[in-house]
Order: sequence, then C-alpha cells, then structure tokens
Amino acid sequence: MNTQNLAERVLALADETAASPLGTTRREELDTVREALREPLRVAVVGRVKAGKSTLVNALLGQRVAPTDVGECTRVVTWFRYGHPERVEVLLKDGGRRDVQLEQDGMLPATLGIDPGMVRSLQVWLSNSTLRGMTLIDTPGLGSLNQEVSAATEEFLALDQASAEAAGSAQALAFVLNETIRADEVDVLRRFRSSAGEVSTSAVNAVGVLTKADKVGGGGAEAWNAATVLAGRMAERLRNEVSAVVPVIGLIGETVEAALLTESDAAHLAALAGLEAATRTRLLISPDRFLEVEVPVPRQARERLLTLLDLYGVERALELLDRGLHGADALRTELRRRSGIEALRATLVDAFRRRDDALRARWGLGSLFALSFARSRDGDAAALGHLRDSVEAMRMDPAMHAVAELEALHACCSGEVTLPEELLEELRRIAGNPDLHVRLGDGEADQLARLAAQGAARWRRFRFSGATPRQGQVAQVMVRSYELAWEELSAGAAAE
Amino acid sequence: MDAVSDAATLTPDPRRQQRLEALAGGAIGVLSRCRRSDLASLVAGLREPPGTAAAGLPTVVVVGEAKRGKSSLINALLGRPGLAPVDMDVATSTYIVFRYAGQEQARIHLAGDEPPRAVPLDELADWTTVEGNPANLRNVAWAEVGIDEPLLRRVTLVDTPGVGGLEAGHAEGTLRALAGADALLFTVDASAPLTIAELHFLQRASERIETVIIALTKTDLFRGWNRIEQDDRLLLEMHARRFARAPILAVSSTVAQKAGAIADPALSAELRRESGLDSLHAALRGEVVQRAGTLRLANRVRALRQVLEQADRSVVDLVNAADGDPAALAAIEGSKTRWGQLSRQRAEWSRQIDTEIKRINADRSDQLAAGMARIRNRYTEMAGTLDGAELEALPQQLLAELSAFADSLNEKSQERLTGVVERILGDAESQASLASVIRELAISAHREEGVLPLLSGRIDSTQDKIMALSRMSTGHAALSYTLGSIWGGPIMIIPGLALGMLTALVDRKSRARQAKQTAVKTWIAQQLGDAQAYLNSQFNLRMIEVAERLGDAIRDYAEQREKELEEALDEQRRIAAQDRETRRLRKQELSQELARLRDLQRGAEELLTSLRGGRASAPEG
Repeated sequence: MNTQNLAERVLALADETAASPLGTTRREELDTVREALREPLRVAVVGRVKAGKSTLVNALLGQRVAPTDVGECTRVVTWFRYGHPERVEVLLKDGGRRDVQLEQDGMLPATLGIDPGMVRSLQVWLSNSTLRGMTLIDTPGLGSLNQEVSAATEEFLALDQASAEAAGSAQALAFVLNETIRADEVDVLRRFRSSAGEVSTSAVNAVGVLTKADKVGGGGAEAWNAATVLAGRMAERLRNEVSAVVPVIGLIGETVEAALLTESDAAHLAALAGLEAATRTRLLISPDRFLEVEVPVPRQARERLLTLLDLYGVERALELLDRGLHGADALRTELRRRSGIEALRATLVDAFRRRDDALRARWGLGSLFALSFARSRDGDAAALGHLRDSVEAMRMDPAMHAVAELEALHACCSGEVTLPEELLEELRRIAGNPDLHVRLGDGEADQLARLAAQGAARWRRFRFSGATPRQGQVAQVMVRSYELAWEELSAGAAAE
Repeated sequence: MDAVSDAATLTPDPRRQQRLEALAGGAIGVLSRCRRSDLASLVAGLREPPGTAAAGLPTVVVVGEAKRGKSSLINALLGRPGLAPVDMDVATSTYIVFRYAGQEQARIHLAGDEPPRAVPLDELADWTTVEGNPANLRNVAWAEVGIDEPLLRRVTLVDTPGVGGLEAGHAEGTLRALAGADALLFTVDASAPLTIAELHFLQRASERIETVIIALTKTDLFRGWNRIEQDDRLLLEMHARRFARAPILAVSSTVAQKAGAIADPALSAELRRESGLDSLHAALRGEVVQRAGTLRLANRVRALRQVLEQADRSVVDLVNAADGDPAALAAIEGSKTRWGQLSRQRAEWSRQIDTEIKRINADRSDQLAAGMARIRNRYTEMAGTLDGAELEALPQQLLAELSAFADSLNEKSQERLTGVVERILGDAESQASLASVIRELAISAHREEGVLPLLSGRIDSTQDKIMALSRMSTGHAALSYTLGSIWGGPIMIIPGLALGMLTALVDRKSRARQAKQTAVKTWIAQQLGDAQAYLNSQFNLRMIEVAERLGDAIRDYAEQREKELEEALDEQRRIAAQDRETRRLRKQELSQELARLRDLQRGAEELLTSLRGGRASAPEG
C-alpha cells in the first residue's frame, strides 16, 4: 500500500498555496505550517511539576541537557530540534531573539539572565540521533503554583486559542504521570483533546509515561511489578486519552542512556556488593543510611551513585553484581532493560514513528483547513477558497487513506462515535500504521490477502447490520483500509 | 470505652489548673453563703476533670491527596504495618476511626438503620477500600477500629479517603469531617511542592481548624525532600499564611517500619529517629494532646463563668430585695410575672415558633429545589464526559455534595430559629442578660443527659464535636449549640440513594455509549428526585421535633427563672419583717458577696484570655 510521503503531499499543497497572493498574517501562518511539515514529528512532553519531564527528555535524548534539579526548574517551553552547530536560542515574547551558550557539561544554563516572563520559548539545536526522528518539546509543569508557569503551558498547548497556536503546537503528546492520576491532569488531557482546533489530541497521538516507577507503592524491590500493574490500570482508565501507559524509571533511564555510569562507579558498586550481608542491609535501609554507614567506599562516591541511580537503582545493581555481572557496560545493559526506557522507545516508535507520516499529514491538513477558514482581509479569499477545496479533495484521495483512519480513530476516542470493543481494538491497532503485518498479522501474501478480504467483509457486515450513520462512516473507512491492503497484496502477487 | 485518660498530658498547665481550682473554691463559698447550694454543687463538679476523659480524647484527622501515604503514616504512627489497608493501587474509600480498645476489633457502620457489624481486622480492606467495596455497594458509612496501642490512649486518629485534586464534593466531605477534629494532620509527599489544590484546601481548612501539623512523607524515596520542604514553607507563607508556622515534619513510614523489624536495638532506635516518627509523635503530643487539655480547661472555665453569671443575676435580685424598696419589689414582681406568663402561655409563643418554622420550611423547600436543580444540571452535564472509573466515583461524589448542601440548609434553618427564640425571650428579659439566658438554655437542654455538655467533652461522633468546638464561644453561638444538639447533628447519610445501582447500569461494557449516558442521566435525575423528597421530609420531621424540644427547654427555663425570682421575693418579704439595721447589714453582706462574685467573674475572664493566649483566633470549645 502506498502510504508513504503523505506529509510531503500536504507540504506540496502548502507550497502551492504559498505561490498565490496572500495577506501577511496568512502568509506567516502558512510559513509556520510549511516549516513544521519539513521537520520531524513534534512531540510535547507534558505533565505535573516535578513529574520527571526533563529527566525523561534527557533519557530519550541520551544526554543530560535539560536541568532536572529539585524545584521548579523548567520554567519555559524548551524545543529540542535536530541541527548543528549545536546552539541555543531564546525566543522572546516581543519577537526578539538572543543566543545563549550551553554550559561546559552540555547542560542548559540554570538561569537565562532574562526575566522568564519575557521568554516565549527556548530553542535548542543538537546533533542528536533521537531528534532526527522527532522534535521534543519540554514544557513547564501543570498544576504549578507559579501562575506564570502554568499559563505558559496552557498557552503552549493551545487550549483556548487553537488556531493561533496550532502551527506552533505539538503534533503528538507524551503525558508524564506519577503514582496518581489527578483530576486536574485528566482535565488538561481532555481539554487538549476537545480543543476547538481541527487537530486535537487523543489516544490517536498521545501516550502516557509512568515515570518514577521505582517509587510506586512506597518503592522497594516490588516497585517495578507494582508499577507495571498500575500502568495497565492507568491505560485502561485513560484509554480514550492515551494509546498506552509505559512504566519507566526516568533517572536510571537517563543515567544509562547518557552513559553516565563509569567504570569507577561500577568498581564502587562492586565494592559495596562485596560487603558482608548485615552491613549491606543497613546500608540499603534509606538514602541517609547509605551515606552515613562506615564502609570502604568514599562517601562522595556513594553520593554520586545515589545521584545516578537512587537507592532503588543501587540495590538493583548490587543484585546484578551478585549474579556475577561485572563492568560498567554489563551493568548499563541490564539496567537499561530494567529502566523501561527500551520499552518506552518501542512504544514511541509504535505510537508515533510508524505513524509519523500519517500523523504529520493529518496535522498539516488540519492546520491548512483551519487556515483556509481565516477571515480574509487582504483579498486572498480566492486563494483561501482554493486551499479549502484542495484540502477537502486531498482528504478524499485514497492515497491519503491513513489520515482518514486516524480521523476515524479520533472520532471514536473522543466519544463522538461508539464502536463495539473488539472493533475499536482493531481500529486502534490499524489506524495510521502502514505496516501490513501490524494490520493483518503474520503470514504469506496469499494468506494475508485472505485475511484482508475477511476484514473488509467483517466491517461491511457491521456497517449494514444496524450501525448508526456515524458508525457506518467509520466502518466504511475500515472496509476501505482492508480493500486497499488486499489490492496491494494482489498487485504484489500479480507482479511476481 | 476504657478510662485511659492520661492526666499528665490532658492537664496542660498546673498553674492555670490551680487558678481554676481557686476560682471554683471562691465561687462555692459565695454561693453557699447566698444559699444557692444548687449552683454550688454544679461548681463542685467543675473542680475535677470528668472521669470519662477517654471519650473526649482529642481527634486528629489525617487528610491528604490520594497516594500521599496517609494510611501508611497511620500504620507507622501506631506501629502496626498493614493495619490500615495500604497497597500500590488501593485507595481508602471511607472514614476509618482508630480508637483505643483493649479488645481489638473493627466495626463497620452501615448507612441507614442497620446496626454496626463487627469484622476481623484483616477484613477491613473489604469494607474500606475502593477495591474491596467498589462504588460502596456494601453501603458503608464509616468504620471504626479499636486497638490496644499507646498512642490511641492520647488521641483518636481518623483516616480519610484520599482525594484526587482535593476538589469539589470530596473536599467538602473532608472539610466537614474536619470541623469535628482537634487537629489536622495534613500529609503531603516529598515528590513535589504543594499543589494549588492542596493550598486551597489548607486555606479553607483554616476556617475550621486551628491546629495543623504537616507531614512530609516518603522522605526515603525522594532525596530532594529538603528542597521540597523549603519550597513548601515558602508557598505556605505566600498562599496560606495562617499555617506559615505550622510544623512541617519530614517522615518516612518505610524507614519506621524497617526500624520496627530490626533486631539490633541501637540501630532500630537510630532508624526510628531518622524516620521522623518520633518527632511526629512529639508534635502530636505538643500541639494536640496538650492543646486539647487547654481547650478542655477553657471549657471548664467557661462553664464556671456561666454559673457565676447566673449567680450574679440572682444575687443582684437579692441585693435589690434587701432594700425593701417598693420599686425594686415591683420590678422583681414584674419580671417574675413575665417569666411566669412565659412558662404558662406556651401556646402563645409556640405559635410564634410554629409560624416561623412554617416560613423556614417554605423557604428551605424553595432553596432545596433550586439547589437540587443546580446540582442536577452540573452532574448531567458532567455525565456526558465521564467514563469507567469516574462513573464509579460519581455516586460518592454526588453523595458528598448532597451532604454538604444539606448541611448548609440545616445551618440556615438553625440561624433563623435562633432569631425567633431571641425575640421570644427578649420580651421577658432585658437584652443585656439575654446572652447569659441563652447560654443557660444550652445547659438546660442537656440536663436530661445528666451532664453539663461543656464539661463532659462527650463525643459520640465527629459531628457532635464540631459543635462542641465551634459553636460555644458566645451567647448566640451557644443557642445554636443548643439547637444543634436538639437537632441531632447534620443529615449525614441519605439512605434513599441506591449507590450500587449506577455501577450496575454502566458496568456492562458492551452497552453503547449513548445508552450509558442516558442511563447515567436518568439515574442522576432519579437519585436527586429521591434525595430531594427525602431531605424535605427529614427537615420537616426535624422541625416538628425541634419545635417541641425547644418549647420544653424554654418552658423549663422560664419556670426555673420564675422560681428564682419567687425566692428573691420570699427573701425580701422576710427581710421586710426585720428591722432596718438588720436589713442594712444583710444588704452590705450581699453587696460584698456580689463584689466577690464580680471579682471571680473577672478572674474567670482573665483565665480564659490567658488560655487563649497567642491564639486569639482560636475557635474555643
């Protein structure tokens, strides 16, 4: 099925529109859309203050760049984009720009030397492979007591001025959760979902991340298992808001991904593992104890270990060493697995990267459609009308079918349409994902073709056996999906 | 309940205690000499703290957002891991009162008229958690756990449902429970600074409770807790100044638990210190137990002051009578007649009360209808956007909101009744002494129970205590208290609400969303309709009862007053028969007694002020 380069088609349409006469405002808006379509998927990391957003960003980047100190540190929206030379730019609300230097250790400076109230956003260009695939946007915390901080986040999320901010807003969302889902958090997700713009968020383009999985249920050895169960329940509860909830230990993820654990750290851990059992037990009772008990490992080294791994991570590392592991690399590999960061990457790939093209195309079409309805003041009515027609035509184009799937899924997730559970699951799995194996399962081409035919029949049956008109529309999209898959498979078979 | 009063901690300050003793001693002297042995014996009852102090143990309500470690903290405080149900994804769904008891057991109080059920401690979770008792299908009103732990000999602890965001209906319910508490143990955790919701809650709580201790939990998990503590302090100063100096105690329930499990006594003690639980114990003792002693002492002083005021009035009567002055005689006669009329012409003022009650009922019915419509609109609107878990929480939320609303109507009605009583009594007594008359009404309303309410610290439920603490500082409030006690407390549970029904309706996943929403909306409309009818009939019934009991209290008081004045008249007639010199001496004597009485009153006033000391805004109980 030819579902590639959807975003490029939308970009072509945008470029074509740019050639027509347009008013200044419209042109600026159009340019931001075009710019966004040329860039990777924009994923905003959203969550409460201190939920672990910056740690997560660092972990995903594999380098410590965002400050993660205790306290409200992330006060401005920070964009991490792919680019070199590596540089930082402060965008001011008044339209001005200033250059800022990264610190010696590669971190963003703790203070910008500019009143945070004046800052619109911070733009960070890094030559980082993660950023090739997605632009990460770190946001200030929700539920923050600093009114300014919260306002900045809401504005960024374009909760109430969707059109104005649409071009600048995210195309996908990583929602950072802690042990409880608070009422106000769900509220923000909902408002985000139902915001007036053409492009809104739902399970279509949002995932939940349960950071601090090591603190769940009071922490300790059982924390990870508890977090896994909890994440499952959260996913169930937020099924319309996010496509999955992944447990992650952000700090350990950051440490292993940024390769901060050194051989000397590993040696210190090994020394601790070699202690007699009673001393070790005393050491691991609490962080204070860990620093205070007299052991042959220097206090400073122990402090570093706590900073890198927390007591939970130290305990896990010691267990690994007990099992005969040695060396920083081996520890890193095992800890990476236990941090959940790998699973998170897989989920992000699943939820965003595979659908990247369709998500961006959907966003682009939505933005252009909204733009085409802008009140015309500068005699660009004709151009806008043409744009509107083109967007609608493109939406009907079979080649853009993946976008239609996402819209169908979104309609279901936002409660507009209800589907029987098993059909909804199917729609969730398939929508926007070009991978035929994800769509149909494993097997030979002829087997897949049969499955595709059955799929089409299944949805057709649903459509004509008492479905409501809206359900019928969704069913029609799915029938088409299977038909397209079948066509592709048959064409492949014929070519052989 | 065992008598386990810890005299040392319930007696805050021996000097003040002695001062009360001295005042009481003086009062007994004056009263005996003025032949008011009835009042003297009341005062004698004030000299010793009541024997059943255990029933009056200070109550500490543990409040916090969900997953802040409330239940773990209670377990750690009591040194009983696993007592209050704690789990990764388990949430306390009801109030659990932890009291001292020699025989360990849990009792589940059900909504409606069902008697409480005794259940084994390890089955507590089946009744008190969201998981064990989803959507409160088992109709639990609250739970009570009696165990033999030293801390509970000093305080009663109340675990509360954690609330997500501490908003709306949930917060209302929690605030209501607070009103009955001596202290609030507010749990926040070390993961992040206080949230807006938490600060708002504290601001609102400050209207109802004086003593707040903040526990910063999970310090073992979050290494940056010192910073969080500093931030919290700053935030309190900025947003909830009243609590800017409230102690913030960093605690780790986990470390405390580990301390308990370690054999090595030295290490165990060290860990225990590190856990911060000892400091929390100390703070509870310092801020709550001792403060409670002060509050109670203040109660006794206040009761003494009331008796002295009553004595004052009757001694003034005697002094006036001692002159044999015809004008004074006529005044006493007149006053006596008016009280006599009041006691006999009950029909007349009963009518006043009845009329006012009719008006109150009519107005309340309107307010009820309007309020219900508001609630219905809001919930119906909400129903459209809710899904699974939130729908499950909906009945509880609705119930909490209804209770809060019923409370506010209740209070309004009480206020208006107070106004009527003031008008009725105002005809018989000068405005100046009206306050003390009303205070006395508070006492007389409780005579049938054989104890002075002000002394007993009698607490059946958290709700009773609300009144004991908040409604007894001034004359007007005292009447509200009387009414409140006649009232029988706020309407807590609305048995008509079939809470389980909603879940049954929406639990079936396959039902179409539209149908579900319609079902939920219908349910809401039905429940609110039922609740409205129920509340209306309850309020009406209550009003009838209140009118009757209030009538009795007024009549009793009027009779008593008439008798007092009759005695004054007798005294006067006796004196009239004596010669002038004897009369002069008697009057001099009585004047001296009156002067002493006034000194004692001043002394009581000063003692009260000193007990309030530094906490002028205290809602004294």
